[in-house]
Amino acid sequence: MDEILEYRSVNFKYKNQKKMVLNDMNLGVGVGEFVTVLGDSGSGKTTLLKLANKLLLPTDGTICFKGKDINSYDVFELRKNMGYVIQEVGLFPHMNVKENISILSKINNMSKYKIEERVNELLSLAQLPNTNEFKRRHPWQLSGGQQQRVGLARALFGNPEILLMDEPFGALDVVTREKLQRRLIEIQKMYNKTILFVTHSLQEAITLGDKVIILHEGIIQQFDTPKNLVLNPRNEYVRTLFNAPTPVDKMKFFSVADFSELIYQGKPNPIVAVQRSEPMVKVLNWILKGKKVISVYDKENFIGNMYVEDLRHIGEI
Amino acid sequence: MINYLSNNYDKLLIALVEHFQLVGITLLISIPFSTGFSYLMITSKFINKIASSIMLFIYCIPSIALFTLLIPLLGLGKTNAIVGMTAYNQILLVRNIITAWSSIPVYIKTSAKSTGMPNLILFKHIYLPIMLPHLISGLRITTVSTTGIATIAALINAGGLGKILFEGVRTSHIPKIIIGITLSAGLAVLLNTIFSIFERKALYKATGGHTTKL
Ligand SMILES: Nc1ncnc2c1ncn2[C@@H]1O[C@H](COP(=O)(O)OP(=O)(O)OP(=O)(O)O)[C@@H](O)[C@H]1O
Ligand SMILES: [Mg+2]
Repeated sequence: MDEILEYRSVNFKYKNQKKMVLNDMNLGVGVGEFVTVLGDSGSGKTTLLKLANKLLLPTDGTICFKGKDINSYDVFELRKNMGYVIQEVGLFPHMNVKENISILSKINNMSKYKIEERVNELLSLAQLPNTNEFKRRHPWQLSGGQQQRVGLARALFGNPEILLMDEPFGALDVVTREKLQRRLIEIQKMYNKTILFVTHSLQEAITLGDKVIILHEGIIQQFDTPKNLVLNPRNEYVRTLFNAPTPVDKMKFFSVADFSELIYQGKPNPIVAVQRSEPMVKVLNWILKGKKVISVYDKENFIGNMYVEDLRHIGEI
Repeated sequence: MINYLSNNYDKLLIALVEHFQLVGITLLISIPFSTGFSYLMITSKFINKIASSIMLFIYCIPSIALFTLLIPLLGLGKTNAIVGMTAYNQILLVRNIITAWSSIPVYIKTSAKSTGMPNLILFKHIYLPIMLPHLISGLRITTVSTTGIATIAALINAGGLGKILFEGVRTSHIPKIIIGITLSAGLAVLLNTIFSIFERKALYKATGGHTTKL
């Protein structure tokens, strides 16, 4: 696979600081891949994205975009090819929703009609109303989640080849978050976009990512598919991550199919029963071994079923 | 006093216009200088320290002393006054421009840069509108201050309302003093009000209408 973004032995520390924030980072993101970055607070996730966008320069090492050192690009060209949704969203306070989304039209001379059309398209993509009233609102008149979605729409406006997203769905409720996650995957598949997506949530990381970067204290602990992370954790940190904190009943995935129908058709493998208090890794293990329906119990009491299509399509409890 | 007013109507008007011109020209010259200085001072901490000290030092010289010091270089008259007042204004304007620049949150600057648009476009469409209320506020304070100092400039033959005021002082002509003071204070208040209106509008724009009222 062609690599669109590549970190070669990248080290980074902030000016006037002793400690390295990123250590010997080696990493390749393929064209059309959805890569998630999972790490605790302060592990260097935002720094990683800023380096790609040349908002920070590596202390050591090289970063390549489409096979060429990013230093060989005109910095404006480079950034135009990347849609960056920063962690703070950063909508411009003096511009309304429409002006925020279409900020790039200040340099692409697009017709008014084209701009309007594109804004509407992006608003509906982001599950936002495309009424005039909404388009005229200013950032302070939006909820946190709406701001995040406008931020996403803004990053998509210029149709960038790669999206850098820093916890873009942090402020969303579960339902909207899942809708948007699904939309994002659709967009990614449909337009063959590459996405580098930062999140705090283990579950978001493995549901969305083709591959996951597990970052801890500025070091990549493992960069692998969700399956390999579960089955072959490379070190104690990764193992603990999957074993520990997320009991089964905290798992929320996309609800997709009508599992009962599948059972009646005799398609799925035998149902597996698990206790809700058991760690996520157990369920993931079953899934990876090809079990399609997982029934969750609390002691003797039946809680619900999860239907599994693949890791990206797991039915809700 | 009414008598004096009606007899010297044209003379007063000329003085007022002259005063206004003095203030206006000073501001027009002060703005590009302070913009340039601010740019250098934002880019370099070293320049910032040195320039702030010099500007503050100048600001602390009593105006009449500064004008007098400039006489050997520029002689008497308007040029001297304008140069002197421009020097005074620098600290006020520069302070406000730097405050305006730092009033833009870092993450807005990051988000602006990440769009990949050239700096000039970012400045025009993003930074400037957010900075504008602070800039106008600085301009307003500077205008009021200049209007006051410009009266003193009459002592070095720069004309303006100070001429009437000091004539009054010299000849103990109370109406002249009162009228001189009233007109220059009135001009300051008027200019202040006009700038305030623009400042409020700019603030409304900068915040997208989110103007917090206490
Ligand atoms: N401008 C800065 N100057 C100095 N140190 C910084 C700066 N920005 C971040 N750091 C430090 O670098 C480390 C990594 O920061 P970074 O913002 O990349 O973390 P993160 O993984 O994005 O965290 P979070 O999940 O909380 O957003 C942290 O220890 C942080 O304190
Ligand atoms: Mg961060």
